[in-house]
Amino acid sequence: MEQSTKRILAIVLIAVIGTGIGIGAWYFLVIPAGEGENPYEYPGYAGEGKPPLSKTIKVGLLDHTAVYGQLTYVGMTMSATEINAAGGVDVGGTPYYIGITMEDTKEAFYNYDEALSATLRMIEKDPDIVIGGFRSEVVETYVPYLMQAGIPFMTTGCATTEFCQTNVASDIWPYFFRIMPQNSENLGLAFMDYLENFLFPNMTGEGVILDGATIMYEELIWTIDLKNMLYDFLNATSMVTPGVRLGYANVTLKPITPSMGALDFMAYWGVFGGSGHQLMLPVISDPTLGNYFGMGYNLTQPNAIVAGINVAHQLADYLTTTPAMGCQYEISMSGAERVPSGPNQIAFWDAFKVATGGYDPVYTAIGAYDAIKIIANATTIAGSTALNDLVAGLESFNTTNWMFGLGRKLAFDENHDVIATNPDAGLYNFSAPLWCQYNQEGVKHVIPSGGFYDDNFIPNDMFRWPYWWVLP
Amino acid sequence: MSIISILVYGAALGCVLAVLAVGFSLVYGVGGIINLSHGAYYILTAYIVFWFINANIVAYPIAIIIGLSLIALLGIVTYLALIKPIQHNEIGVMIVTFALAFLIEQAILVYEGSKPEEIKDISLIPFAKGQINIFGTQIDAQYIVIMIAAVIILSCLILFIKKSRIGKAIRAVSQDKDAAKLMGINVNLILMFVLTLSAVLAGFAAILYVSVSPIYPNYGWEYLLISMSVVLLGGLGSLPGSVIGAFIISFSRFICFYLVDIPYNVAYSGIIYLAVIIIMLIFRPCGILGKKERT
Amino acid sequence: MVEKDQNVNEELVTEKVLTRRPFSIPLKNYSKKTSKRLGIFFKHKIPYAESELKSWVRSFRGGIILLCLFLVTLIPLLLNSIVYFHVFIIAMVYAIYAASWDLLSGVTGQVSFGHAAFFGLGGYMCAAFVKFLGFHWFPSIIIGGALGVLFGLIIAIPSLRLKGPYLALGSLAFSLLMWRLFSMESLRFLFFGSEGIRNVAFLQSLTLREKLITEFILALIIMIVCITIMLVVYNSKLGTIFKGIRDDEYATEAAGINVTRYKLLAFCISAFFAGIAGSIYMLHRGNVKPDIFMSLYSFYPIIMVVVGGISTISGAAFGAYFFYVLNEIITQLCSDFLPSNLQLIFSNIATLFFAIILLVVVRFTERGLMEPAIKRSKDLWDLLRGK
Repeated sequence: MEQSTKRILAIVLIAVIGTGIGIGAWYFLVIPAGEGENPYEYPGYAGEGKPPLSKTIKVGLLDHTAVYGQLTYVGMTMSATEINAAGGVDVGGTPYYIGITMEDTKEAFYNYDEALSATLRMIEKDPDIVIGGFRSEVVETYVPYLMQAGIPFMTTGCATTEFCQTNVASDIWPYFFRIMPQNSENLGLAFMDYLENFLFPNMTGEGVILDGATIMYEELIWTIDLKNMLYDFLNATSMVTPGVRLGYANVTLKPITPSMGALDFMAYWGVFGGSGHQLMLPVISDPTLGNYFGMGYNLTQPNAIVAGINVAHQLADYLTTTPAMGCQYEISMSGAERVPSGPNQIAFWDAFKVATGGYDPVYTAIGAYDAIKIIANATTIAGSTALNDLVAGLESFNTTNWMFGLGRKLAFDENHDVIATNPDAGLYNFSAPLWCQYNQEGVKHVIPSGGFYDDNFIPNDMFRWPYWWVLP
Repeated sequence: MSIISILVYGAALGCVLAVLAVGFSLVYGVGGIINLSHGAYYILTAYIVFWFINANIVAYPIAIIIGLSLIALLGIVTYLALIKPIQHNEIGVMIVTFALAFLIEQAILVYEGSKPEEIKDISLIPFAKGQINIFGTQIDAQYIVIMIAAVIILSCLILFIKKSRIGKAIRAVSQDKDAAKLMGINVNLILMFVLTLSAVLAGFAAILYVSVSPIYPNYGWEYLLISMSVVLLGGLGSLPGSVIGAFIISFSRFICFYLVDIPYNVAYSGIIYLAVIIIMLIFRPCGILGKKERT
Repeated sequence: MVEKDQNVNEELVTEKVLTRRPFSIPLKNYSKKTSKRLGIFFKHKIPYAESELKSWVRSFRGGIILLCLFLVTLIPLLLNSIVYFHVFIIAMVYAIYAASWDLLSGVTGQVSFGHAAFFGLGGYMCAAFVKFLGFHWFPSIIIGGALGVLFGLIIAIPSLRLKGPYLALGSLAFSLLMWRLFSMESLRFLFFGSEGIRNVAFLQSLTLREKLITEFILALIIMIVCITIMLVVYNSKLGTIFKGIRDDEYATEAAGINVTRYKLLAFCISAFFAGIAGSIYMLHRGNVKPDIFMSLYSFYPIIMVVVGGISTISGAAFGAYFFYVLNEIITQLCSDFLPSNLQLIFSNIATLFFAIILLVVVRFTERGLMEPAIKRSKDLWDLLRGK
C-alpha cells in the first residue's frame, strides 16, 4: 500500500476509534455517575417504573458482598418490600418509597482502597442514610468520609464500643448509629451477668470449686475490651461468691491469632487440660478458629465448661464441621435464633430461608431489616429526610419510646448506641445475646439465662453438663 | 502428657512439611527454578477434591485421584507454557510463577465468593476416625495415618530417585545440565517431570493435612513461606536437608507452645519460622546441609 | 597567592576516591565529598539543563509523557467525581511506591519481595509525628521518608551478602516479621498493637470534595517531583553504576567501584521514596494498621512494575495507573450494569482479570507493556506525520 494511503487510513481509523471510545466513556462512565438515572431499586413497589428521587427514602448498604453482604441485602430487600407494597412511608403528608442500593466494600479481607472507593461511589449516589459495615478496622476508615459528607451511617455489624461511646459522644462522628449487634461492653455485661447468675450457681451447686479459668480471645478492637472486662470481673467475683476462687493469679489469658492451625489448638487444649481449670471462656470471631476450638474441646474432653462467644457456633454447619461431642456442651452467645421473641421473628426466619434458598438469617440481615423499619418510622416522625430531621427522628427512640424490632425492643441511647437488656436498670428484652447449647438431637436450643431476659419472652430448654465430667 | 503430644503433633506436621518442602527443593536443586506457586498447588488440590466431594459426583478416592491428576496436569502446563520459554531469566521465572499463584488464588476466591454464604474455610474428610491411646494420651488416629502415609511417600520417592533410570537422569541433570544434555538426556523432559512430581507431592501433602487443618483461599502464601523456610534451613537443593529442616521447624513451633510459658507464646511461635529464615540468611545462607555457593 | 582551580583538582580527587575500600562508612568525609560533588554537578549541569529540558519535551517520549500527565490531571477534574479523585490519588501513591521498588529491584537488581516494610514504616512514622508530636503534615511526610531511609539502612546491611532468591525471601520474611511485631498486643507500647495509629486528622475542616481535590493536587505534585528525581538518578552516572551492579556485580567491582556503598545508597533512596508514598497513603486513609506490612502490599509494586516494564521508572507509574484505574473502571461497570444477583459472582472478577493480564504480560513480553506501546505509537505518529 502506498504511504499516503496508509496515512489516510490511519487517520480515519484513529478518528473513528477515538470517537467510539469517547462516546463509550461518556455513556458508561459519566452518565451513571448521577446524571439523571435513578440507581436505587424499589422492591415491592407496585407502580410503573420507579418513583421519583424526591419521593424516595434513599438507603444504601456498604458491606462485603461475598461475606454476609448478600444475605444482609436480602434482609434489607424483605423489609423494603413490605413497606413499599403497603404503599410506602408517610413523610409530611406524601407517600415516600424506600429505595435501596448496595456497594461492595470487600472489607472482610481488609481491602481499604476498595472500601474507600465503594464508599465514595455510594456518596455519589447521594443517599439519605447508609447502613452496613462488618470489619471494624475498615469501617473506622470509611465512616469519617461519610461523616464529612453529611450522611448518617447505621452499622449492622460492628460491636466496637468506642464507635458510639467515644466517637459519637465527643462529636467526632455525629451521625453514627449502631443497630446491631450490642457493643462489646454490653456483650461483656451480658457475659458477666450470665456467669454470676447462672453458671457459677450451677457449677458450685454441683460441688465444683472454681479455682482456675482461661480466657481465649482474638486480638481485635472489640475483643480486647471484652477480655479486660471479664478479667477484672473474674477477679472481683472471687471475693463475693462462695466456691469461686478466681483471681488475676489463676485466670490465664490466651490470645490467639488467625495463623493458628488445628494442631496449635490441640496443643492449647492439651495445656488447658493439664492445668485443671474448670472454666474456658472463648471470645472468638473468626469461624475457622472457632471450628478448631470446638474440635479441640471434643478431643481433649477436659473437666471444664465452655461458655463464651464463638461465632462459628452460630453457623449452621458447626455440628458437622466439628465432631458432634464438642458442639453439644459448648455454650455460646448467639445474635439471633428462631424463637418467638418478637411478633414477627418466626415468620421472618422462615421467609428468609425461602428467599435465599435455605440460608438462615445472619445477625447483619436482621439488623438491616430492623434498620429499614426504624428509618421509615424516623422519617415519619421527623416529617422529612433531611439530615438533621432524620437524625432527630432516630434519636427520638429511647427507653420510653421504643419500637418492636425483630425479636427485641429497639431504641438508641444518648450516644446513638442500641440499648441493651440490663436487668439492673429494669430494662428487659431489649437487644440481648441469647445463650445457646446444642441438645442431644443436634438442635440448637436457647438455654436459661439466669434472669437476664424474661424467660417467658424467650422459651428455653435445659442446660446440659458434659457427660465425661464425673462430679463428686 | 505434654511430651507425647509434642512428639506426635510435631512429627505429624514435620512429615507433612517434609513432603511439601521436598518438592520445592527438588525443583530448585534440579532446575534452578524457584516455584512460587508451590503453595498454590497445595491449596488448589485441596479445593478441587473438596468441590468434587461437595458436588457428590464421585466417591472420595476417585476425587483424590482426579485432584492429583489435575494438579499434575497443571504442573505440566506450567512448565511448558510458562517456565520453559523464559528459563534463562531466574527472576522472570519467579515472577511468572508468582503471577500463577496469584491467579489461582483469585480464581478460587471468585468461585467461593459466588455463593451467598460467607467464604468459609474448607477441610477434607479424614481417612481414620476416632482416637488411639498412646502412653496415656488421646491422639486423633488421623495423625498416625498422616505419618505413615508421608513416610511411605518419601521412601517411594527416595527409592525412585536412587534406583530408577529416570531418577538417575534427574540426578545427572541436577549435577550438570550441559553434561547431561551431552549424554543424551532430554533435559526439558526431566525438568517437566520434576515439576510435575513436585506438584503431585504438594497435592499429597494437602490431601493428608487439610483433613486436620482447614484452609482458606489465601493460605497459599503461608504454606509457600513455610516450605521455603524449611528448604532454606535444610539447604536449597538438598533433599535430606529439607526433611531435617521440616522436623526442626515443626518441633520448634510446638516446643514454643509448651515450654515457653509466657502469655504470648502463641504469637511468638507464629513468627518462629520467619526468625529462622532471617537468622539462616544472615549467618548461613546455604543451610545446614546445602552446598556452599560462592557469595 | 595563586588561586587553585578548585574544580579541576577536585574532580581528580573524587575520581581517586572511587576506588575499592573495605566495608566502612566514613561519614564525615563522605558528606564533604558529597557536597563537593553536588557543587560540581550544579555548576556543570545547570547551564545545560534548560536546553536538555527543551529537547526532551520536543522528543516523542517527552511529549507522550507530558500528554499522559496532562490527561491524568485533567480526567478526574473533568469527570468531577469524588471516586476518581480517590482512585487517582491511590494510583499516584502506588506509582511512587512502584517506582521506588523499580529503582531497587529493576535498576540495581536487588529484587526485594518485602518492600512493604519501607512503605508501612513511612506511614507509621508520619502518623506518629502528625498525631503524637503535632507536626504539620508536610514535614511529617519528609520525616516519614527520612526515617524510612534509616530503616532501609538497617535492612540493607544484612542484605548485602544475599543474592537473588535469598534476598527476595529474606526481604519477604522481614516484612512479615514487621507485620507480626506490629500486631502483637504485648508490644503495644512500642508498636501500637493491632489497631495501629487511628484518627489521624488531615484537612478535616474542608468539605469532602475540597479535601479530595487538595489531596489530589498534593499527591500529583509530590509524584511529579519524586519520579523526576528518580528519573534523573536513572539517567545519571549514579544510575549507570546501579545498572552495572545489576548486570554484572563482579565486573563493576573490578572496575573500582565500591559496590557495597552503592548498594546501600540504592536501598536508601528506594526506602526514602517508599516512605514518602506510605506517608501520603496514610494521610489519605486517615489511619495506619499493621496489615500494611502484609505480603499483598509487597506484591502490588511487583505487579505494577512488571506490567509497566522493569527497569524503566516511568513504566512503574504506567503500571500503577493501568492496574488501579482499570480495576476501578471494571468494578464500576460491574456494579452499574449487572443486576444484583449476578454481582455476587463477579465480585472478585476484576482482580482475577488482572491476574490473567499479569501472567500474559510476564510470559510474552520482555520489557512490559509500556515500551512496546510507546514504540508502536511512535511508529504510528511518524506514519501520521508522513515520514
